[in-house]
Amino acid sequence: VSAALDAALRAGLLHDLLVHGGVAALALALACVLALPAAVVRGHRRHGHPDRPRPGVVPVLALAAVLLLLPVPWGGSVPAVVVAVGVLCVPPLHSCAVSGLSVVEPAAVEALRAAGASERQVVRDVELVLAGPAVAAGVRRAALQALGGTALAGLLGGPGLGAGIARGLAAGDPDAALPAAAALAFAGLLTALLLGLVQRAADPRRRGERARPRRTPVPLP
Amino acid sequence: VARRDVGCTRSDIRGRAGAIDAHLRSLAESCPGRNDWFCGPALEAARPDLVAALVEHVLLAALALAGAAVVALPVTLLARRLGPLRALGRGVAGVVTALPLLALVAGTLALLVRTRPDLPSWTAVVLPVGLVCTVLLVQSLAAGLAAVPAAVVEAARAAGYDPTALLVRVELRTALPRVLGGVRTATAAAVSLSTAGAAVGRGGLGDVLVQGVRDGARTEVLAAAVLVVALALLPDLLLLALQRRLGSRSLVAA
Repeated sequence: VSAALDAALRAGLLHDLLVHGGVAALALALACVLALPAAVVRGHRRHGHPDRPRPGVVPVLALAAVLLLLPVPWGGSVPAVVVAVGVLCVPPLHSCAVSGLSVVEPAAVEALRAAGASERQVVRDVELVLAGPAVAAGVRRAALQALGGTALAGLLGGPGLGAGIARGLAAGDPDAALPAAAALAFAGLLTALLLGLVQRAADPRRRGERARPRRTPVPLP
Repeated sequence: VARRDVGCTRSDIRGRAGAIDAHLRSLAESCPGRNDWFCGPALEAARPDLVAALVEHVLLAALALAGAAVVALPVTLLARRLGPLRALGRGVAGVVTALPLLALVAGTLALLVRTRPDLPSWTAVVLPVGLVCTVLLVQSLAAGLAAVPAAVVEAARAAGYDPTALLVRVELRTALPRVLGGVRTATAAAVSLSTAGAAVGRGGLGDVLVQGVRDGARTEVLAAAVLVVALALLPDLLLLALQRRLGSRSLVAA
């Protein structure tokens, strides 16, 4: 295994990993731009339904294949993969954000409205704050899909770790694909862990609990 | 003498090259801007391949989904009884969802080559896809069962339902809309993730996509892409209709 790892490092495993992360991050950014504004509007109008989450699995390989064959200004390997993976990530992000915003405590919203806040302030100060964990969960799911989707696009010769894995598997030598596969798995686990921490940090109730003293300092009458 | 041994003279080669030229010319004449997104003759020529790939794709996805469906309910019921060990199960599910599918496929194949080299290559696709589908189904089943109001369960128990009837006729019935949501996600996942089988040459329509991109064959790629999307959307729409019907008659408001 260590020989395979050496060979993989010499073949540019680290470079592939960085490119993979970069492409996935670009795709995620694209998905955020596409999904979140509409989600905020729909969530504010409470269109979400907890029983009907939208499944977020678009066949990324199909989209990437068509985009890769577009003429050059649009096609080209990196833009095609970024667009295909970005579109793949829109549904989970959108549905998580909409359902999170839709179940924000109505009393909190009404209280702020009664205090004379504008709708913009309601969205910014209450809805987005209380729905923070749900939006962060959507970002986490979308980020993982972006990593996996970028890897699948590698089957078509796209950038990142997928192409190396595909070459190893196609050559009938799965051991040659293992270092890249392990790097991909590592990237997935690290992303899940980091964004899970972000998700916890985004919970305003948790923050509030930490700020509040454990016991009431003065006994209540 | 060497030429005779190979069984191929210069005139043979010239003849074959001429035949290929003629074929290419006829293709070029039938599709003026060769390499079009839609070219009737090319599509006609690719039809047997596309049909075979479609059948393979449906089989792969159905096998993964069926395996997941068989495993999911016992696993969920077991997880309900485990108590504190549930956190462990949730951790395993989190790890599986965090692993990109291609890494899973590569890992499975490396494992199978070592332990069971007699198994066909498609098992390296169906096992990881089935694992992902199982996790999706178990998550939705667990969420659905957890959302059944305790009062409903208590009332059914008081009315004399035995545990099996309680599970089937009350808990699963109440959780059905949510579970169907999970089935929708799992179906779409099975169809679109099966394309990853192209990595081992067993990806159904994924194979056509990969081969088509390599050859720059736009007609084939577009046809395969449309088929994959239709294959993912069709069961999704059917299940959505079912879910809407059941949801409107749900025992408990959401």
